[in-house]
Order: sequence, then C-alpha cells, then structure tokens
Amino acid sequence: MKRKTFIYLSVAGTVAMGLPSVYCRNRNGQLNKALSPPVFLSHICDANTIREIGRAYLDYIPVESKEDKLVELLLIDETGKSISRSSDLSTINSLENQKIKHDFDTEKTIVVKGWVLSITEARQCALFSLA
Amino acid sequence: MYKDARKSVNGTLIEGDICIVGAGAAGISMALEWINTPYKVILLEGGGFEYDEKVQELFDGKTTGQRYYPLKSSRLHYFGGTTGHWAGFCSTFDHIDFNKRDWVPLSGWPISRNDLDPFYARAQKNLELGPYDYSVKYWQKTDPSLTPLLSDDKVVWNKMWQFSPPTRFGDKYRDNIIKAKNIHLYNYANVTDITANENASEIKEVTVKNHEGREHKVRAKIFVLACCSIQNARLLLVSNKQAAKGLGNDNDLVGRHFMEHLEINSGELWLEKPNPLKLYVLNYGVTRARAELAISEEKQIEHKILNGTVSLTPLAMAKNMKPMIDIWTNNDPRKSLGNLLESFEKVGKEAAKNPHADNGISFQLMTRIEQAPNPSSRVTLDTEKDSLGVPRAMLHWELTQLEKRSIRKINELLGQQVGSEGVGRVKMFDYLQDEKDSSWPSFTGGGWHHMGTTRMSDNPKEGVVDANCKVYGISNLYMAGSSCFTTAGAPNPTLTLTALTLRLSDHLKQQIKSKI
Repeated sequence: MKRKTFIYLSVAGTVAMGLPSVYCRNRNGQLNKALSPPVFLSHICDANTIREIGRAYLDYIPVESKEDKLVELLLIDETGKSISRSSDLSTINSLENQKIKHDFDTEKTIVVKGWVLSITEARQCALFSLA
Repeated sequence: MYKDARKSVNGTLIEGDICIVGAGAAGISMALEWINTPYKVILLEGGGFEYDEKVQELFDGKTTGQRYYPLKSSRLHYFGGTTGHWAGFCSTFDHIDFNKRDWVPLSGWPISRNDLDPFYARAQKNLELGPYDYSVKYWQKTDPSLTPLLSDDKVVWNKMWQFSPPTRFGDKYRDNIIKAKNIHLYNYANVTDITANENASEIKEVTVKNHEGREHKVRAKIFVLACCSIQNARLLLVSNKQAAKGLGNDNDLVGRHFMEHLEINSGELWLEKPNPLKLYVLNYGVTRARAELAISEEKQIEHKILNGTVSLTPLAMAKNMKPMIDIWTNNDPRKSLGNLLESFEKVGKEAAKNPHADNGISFQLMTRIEQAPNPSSRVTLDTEKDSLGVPRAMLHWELTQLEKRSIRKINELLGQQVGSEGVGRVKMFDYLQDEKDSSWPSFTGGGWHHMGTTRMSDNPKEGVVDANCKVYGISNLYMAGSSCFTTAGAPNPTLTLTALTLRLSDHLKQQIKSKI
C-alpha cells in the first residue's frame, strides 16, 4: 500500500471512530481497528513498514503473540487499570494517545527495526501485523 | 621578524625568552599575545608559508586499531597549521565536560568551565567569530525564524555553534607576526630533539633541523610545545637522552589517552509536518550560527553516558553523501581535501536536480560525541624514522563500548522527546539496534580532532601537565593545544584549545617575570 493511500485509510478510520458506536457482530474487528495501527506512526510509515515493525516486536516478545493478549495490554491505562472492551471507540482511541505520550515521557520505549517507539504503539503495530 | 632557517649558517645558536614550537592555531595565538612585550619570543615552524611535500611527509605514520584517516593528511605542516584546511566549527565545552563523572574513566579537569570563560570570550576574536553568546535567544534576535524543534529543554536542549569564516591563521596573522619586532619567526625549523638538564628537571635547548642539512640550537627560559596532539607526544617521547622513557613520561602517560570526536551517522528523524528546521541546518559559508540537539546534564548523569550532540541534514541531501572515512583516504592532504570538495559538489548537483526531494519531513541524524579517555588509545614511536632522523609517530585508535552505548542512548532520548512532543519519530541505524552489539560499522569516523596525549590533571599519576599546562617534573616546559585536554567534550576543539592557550599565555606572562 502506498503511503498516501494508507494515510487516507488511517484518517478515514479515525473519522469512523468518532461516529456513535453501534452494536456490531464483529466487535473484535472494530476494537482492533480502534487499537491499530498507531495513528501518528501511520502518518510517517506505510502499512508494510508498520506490519514489519509489528512482526519484529513479536519476535522480541513472543509472549505477546496472541491478538487477545495484545488487546488486553492495550486496554490497560497508565495507572494499571483495565478499561472495558465495550468502551466506545473514541475513548479507546484517546486512551491509546495518552498512553503513547506517557510511555515517551517515562522512557517506556522500545527500539524496533530501528524505530524508537512507545511500547503502546509497538503493540499497536504488533496487533496490526496479526490482522 | 622572520627568518628562513634553511638559510641560516649551520650551527646557529638562537636565543630568546620564550620559545614556541609550532605555528598553528595554538602557537600563533600565543605569539600574538606577546607582541610588543619586552620579551624576545622565538616562534619555530617546521614548514614554510606554503605547503611543502617534504615537510608534510614528516607527519606520516602508521595507524592500527579502529580505522583512521592517514596521519600525514590529517594535519597540515606549515605556517598556520591545520587552520589551512579546517572548516571553522566552533562551540564551547559544557560545564559537565570539566566535571569528574564516575562513569567516565579519568574524567575531571583541574579547571572548570568558569575558569575558561574569559578566555573563550577572547578566543572568539582570534577565530573571527561573533559575540561570545551561545544562547539560542541571542541568535533568534538576529533571525526570528530560528525556531527550536522541541518546546521542552529538560532532556534535549539546543546547543549553539558559531562558524569561523574559517580563519586561516597563516594568511590572517602572517603580517602581524612578521612585523612584530620582538617575535622571531623561524620557518623550516623542525624541532627534532629537546635537551634537558641532567636530571630532566629543566629544558636547556631544542635542536632544529631541515632538509637542507642545517641544524641549529634554540635556547630560552620557557619552552612551549604547540605542535598538535600527535606531534607534541612524539617530541616528548623521542627526547629521551636525559629521561629514558621520554620527557614528562615518568608515569608512562605521554601519548596515551588519545581522543577523537566520533562523528557518525546514527539515524533519521521523520516529522509529521514539514519543517525546514532552519535553526539546525547548515548552509556552509552562509550560516553564522546553528544549533545541534544536545542531552541535558541530568540525563547524562542518569544514564551514565558521554556528552554528545546530534546534527540534522535533510535526508535527501545526506543520502548522497559518502562517509568521511571513505573520502579522506589520500595521504596527500590536498588530494583528500579535493575529494571532499568534489563529494560536496556532487551532493549539491544532485540536490539541484531534484529540488523537491528536500521535503522538510525527513532528516539524517549525525551524532558527534566525545571519546572517553582510554589508555590503550595511544600514540607511540615507530622504529622507522622520518627524513630528519626522528622516529615516526604511530597511532593506535581504540574505542570502547561506552561510546557505542552513549550514541545509542543519545538517539533514543531524542526519539523519546520528539515522540513525547508529538513532532515526529526517530529511526536509528542498524548498527545501533542491538544494545549488546559492541561492533562498529565500516563508516565509523572521527572529526580529525586529536586530543589528550599530554592530558591535564592535578595528579601527576593521571596527567602529563598540571592545571597551567606545565609538564610535571620540568620547571620550564609547557604544552599548548588540545593535547592538554583531560576529556574531549563534544564540540570541535579549536575554540577551546585557543582559549586554553590564551590562559596559558597569561600564566606565562606572570611566570617569566620571575625567570628574568
């Protein structure tokens, strides 16, 4: 996927997240979309790069190789409290942005494929690579 | 006054109050300070006013260890010294550079940054720099478009640099020196030996030679060696008639702790929104001052890393540039310089072909970092001799894991800051990915900065010279230049070595009164 197309889809995804959440049979699919790919990084990297980062992250930390595990970790806030999987998508999106900022501020970062990433966004890449 | 030592009658005895050996940035800066004083100053230069291949060849020598530039072409051996081809980058050392840091072996100067401040201010003039003001705020007043990348400077701050025209000391100060009645410049006067008294506590005279077969003696009350880090060490080591291990070398320190600045491409900065980053980008010959991204003292202490800065170059341009270590390969400094200029020209042409490639989004990161003092990184003598019969210098350049770890951490901290402020992301190069990997990539190079071989310390067991640059155990021998640096700091050494020389000069003006 070309970078421009990818950015377009990322932006479209973000817009979609702002819509009122409705019940969906594929709740997990929506949840995954809310959690990945990382919005900021997708403005810089194309989808393939993000997938490669995700795969490399999982090579480093194979214990997180399950989609469910990654979702669980991504839904834990900075205080260690889990938020509900049924939270609305804009809440989830906001949580991820806060966590990314918090990760960088507290040096909770990881170098994957050379990129200095927040742990949260590295996990988002990993989740994206599993999709 | 000026004399060509090739034309003096063989066996001439030259006498003065102070003898300065070497006419580069340090030697000339010192000589200028003594103009119109009541003292007779002898300034000895091995070369002439122009490049001379036979003289330059005296700087040739072998290197081992980490790949390095040819020794012959990394310094210039004529009046003006290496300012004949320097690029003019200047900045001050930071306060932390002078401190004892428990994670940096043998760190801690016997002087502080505050001690050097008045001399930095004076050195600005010698190097034709702007006002002694290295704050971003000052330079923003001259150009409000110089805006910082980051709003918070607690982790990454903006360290300002100023650019000398660059001052070619040979051209700029030649007339001042020649016209000064009390400065006696001798060209083609290569010092080949230093003679001390019987117990090596005082220097009596130096021997000078040239390729025309003339040999002269120079006597003075005070001697100052200002020949650059490698040659300063070499001269002390070869002068071993009265001290078997060489002058000032009772503790086997002369030549050890050779330091360079690692200047190595380390990664890329990708911004979310285009930004020309004018504060950081160098337009050589036009830019008077720019910033590099530096790491705060607190973070250096917390992570136990060396001091370093990161410079930014538009990625589209940087990608066409070959590593310096692959360009500066010719033994002839004129050819190596030619290769460098040709390389820059190619980069410029490529940039002109595609002016939109520089999108303000992506920048290459180059890390400039101090090398920690390392006794195994050293200058020694070869068994081979040069054409004047002096053993050649050999350099063994050796890096440690501390430099590698520090480069990685500096780029990581930068990545964290740009991430935290949401301006972009940093991608480090492959060689930095694995923090356990201690190897160096093929493009590892230095800045042609030679430092530390006669290091300063308040302890003779840890240094060759004291806080006044006097060689321990020898009453009238002083070293000038970056060979005295205890640690290397991150900035290019010329401004600091000039400041240190001016400080030495003031000290000697007090000392000489007691010797006459």
